[in-house]
Amino acid sequence: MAVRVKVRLSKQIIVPIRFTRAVTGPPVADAPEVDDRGFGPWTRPASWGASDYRGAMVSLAAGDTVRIKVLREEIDSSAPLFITSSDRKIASVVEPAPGQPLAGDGIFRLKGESDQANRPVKIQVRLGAADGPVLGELEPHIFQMRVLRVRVHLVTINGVATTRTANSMVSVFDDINVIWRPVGIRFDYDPALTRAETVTGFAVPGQMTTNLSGGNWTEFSTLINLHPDPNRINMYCVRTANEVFGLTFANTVARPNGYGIVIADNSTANSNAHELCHYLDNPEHAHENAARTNVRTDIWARRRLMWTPSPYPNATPAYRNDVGYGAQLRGAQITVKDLAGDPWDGETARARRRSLNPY
Amino acid sequence: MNGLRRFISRLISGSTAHNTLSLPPAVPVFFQRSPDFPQGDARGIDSLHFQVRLNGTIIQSGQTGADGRIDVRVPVGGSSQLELLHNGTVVATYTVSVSTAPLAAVTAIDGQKQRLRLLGYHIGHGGADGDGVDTVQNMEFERSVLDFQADTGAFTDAVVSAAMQGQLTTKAGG
Amino acid sequence: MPTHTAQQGDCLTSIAEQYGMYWETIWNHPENADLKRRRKDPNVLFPGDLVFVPEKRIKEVTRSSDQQHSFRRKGVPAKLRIRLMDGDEPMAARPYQLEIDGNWIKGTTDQDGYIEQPLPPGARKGRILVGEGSTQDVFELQFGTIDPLDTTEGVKGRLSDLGYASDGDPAEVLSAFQQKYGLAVTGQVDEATRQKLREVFGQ
Repeated sequence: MAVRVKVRLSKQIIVPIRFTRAVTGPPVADAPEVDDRGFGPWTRPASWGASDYRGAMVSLAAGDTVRIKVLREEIDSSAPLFITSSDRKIASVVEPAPGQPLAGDGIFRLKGESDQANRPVKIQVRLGAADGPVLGELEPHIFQMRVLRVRVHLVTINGVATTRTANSMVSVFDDINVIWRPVGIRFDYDPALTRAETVTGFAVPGQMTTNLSGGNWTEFSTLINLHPDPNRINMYCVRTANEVFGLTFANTVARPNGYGIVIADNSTANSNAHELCHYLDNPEHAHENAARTNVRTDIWARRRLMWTPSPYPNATPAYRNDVGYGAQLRGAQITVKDLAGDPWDGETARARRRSLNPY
Repeated sequence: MNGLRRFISRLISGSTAHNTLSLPPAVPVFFQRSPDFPQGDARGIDSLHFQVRLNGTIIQSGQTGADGRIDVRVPVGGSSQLELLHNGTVVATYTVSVSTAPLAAVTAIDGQKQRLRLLGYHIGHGGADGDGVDTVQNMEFERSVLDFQADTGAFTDAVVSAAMQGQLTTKAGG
Repeated sequence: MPTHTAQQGDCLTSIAEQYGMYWETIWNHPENADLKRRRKDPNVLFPGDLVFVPEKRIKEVTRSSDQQHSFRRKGVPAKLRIRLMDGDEPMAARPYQLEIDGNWIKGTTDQDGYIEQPLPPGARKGRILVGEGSTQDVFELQFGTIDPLDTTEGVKGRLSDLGYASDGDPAEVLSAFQQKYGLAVTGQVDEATRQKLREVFGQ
């Protein structure tokens, strides 16, 4: 059906397509988030090389094949579209087959062939043929997988133990790794290395009690100093926490305050992935500045892994209640772009930098 | 290329009358890979083959240049069909009409949507004209506001501040 | 002689050509006084108009039988006078090709965008090509099809020739015309609108 265009003030710009995540619902390993926030490239790490592309970005691990969706925002649903890569040695389109048009659902499959960060590549959507006019561009970033080791500590506080077990954490890390895979980071959890820890003298049995606004981190600091493994990221499981689902200091904090992660039993894998993102140097992003004023509540904010609460309270307007991950559930986006208008994004690059020295 | 049928009078030899035939006024439509007018960068979709059809008759044909511009002739009070071609086959169609009314106030949602739509942001296809312009605050509108903020380097909070309203007016007009 | 019922495409010159007389003979005949009062413009008839066609008068001329003689039929061809506009700008000094019933004429529009050429009275269709190659503008012409200004068809035809939508909402189209020329915007045809339409269109 024809797209209707009403020209006002004697000018009109038409941008035919955009890109988006291929699925809705929980994170899926082969359908990563697409950083479709605006069309500008903004700041790029020096190691990424220069590019004149304008559009979305996506990251994926070298060797992975992922699904990405093209949205026909301002072009007929029947217009034949073709997907090409400007450098198939870095990223190749594996479906549709060469010379074949995009399927009706708009989903194509892209393979990350090689981590060549300083050689930007463009994925192009073309009209009519594989050499047709370019309607839109996507810049993929391919990352060689890095493996970060994790030791889990199961903590008993004043005689009350966490309900988590070494085996139950296996599926938790499976879900965490689905979220982190596009960044090219995998958390290696060995249940055989899990430690049991016992601590007494806390305010409430089974609970990590904090007063964050009052600056009381004492119990948290005690926990993260329990037999930390110097060659692994240390994650401590407790039955409850009075203020949080999880709490983290990155390894930029020297001991005796220390660094590590505490998670409560009622935290989800998404929340645990959020804590690991803190560990890799990324703060929460919802607020505008360090004073935590002007908190964002929009659909992009809620899609971010580093959005503060999940699940979140009933939102206004109502469409904010589902940003593609389910009712009132925070998303799992780890941003690739580094926008001038967002003080807290560029999370992928920051996490990968920290991942070079994580213990 | 065919033309539009015109009504003409046979004039007696001494008549001082004449018949004025006007080409329908042209409005520029820019096909681009990203919204807003270029700022020293190349956004236009070039090499798009097109034709414009009015009342079933082709009145224009051509190919876009680097700026992706097509000056579409649209009769006043009516619409034209802009067709994109590949190898001579129509692959995409746009029904193009023109509004000469002033834009709504930039302080109102429909005024903001009109300006975002003019700049090429994706506000959806709701509204009476099927081009997304209405007074409804919906997900597509919020996405467009955020895109605009991201592209202009503003804090991305989906709040259409007075500063953003000023930018919309400066860029889109009205 | 018959009363001719005007068809679409008829005008005084084509009817006169058909019946072999000057157009003035028909237009000024007392039997056509009412037609003349209603239509005012001999160039414009409306389908269904009844045109009285008087008897032809036979002219007798005496000449010597053993000589060759030439008889020249008097008559002045009709013409077309068209002004080509691109929006509000005349298409001035533009090369054009004009085809009338298969015959081609080349020319250049004048400084105000006018083309004036003789038009055989029986000519029905033509076209004007302005420019060259893929940027050529084409005007397909149908002669004798302008209807009186006091008819809906006459208003619509003129607006269509001026670049307004022929299938658009009539009130919207009229409002746009009225607004452009500073008339009261009513969306309805009134005398002021007709006058301005006559002035802008040229007839």
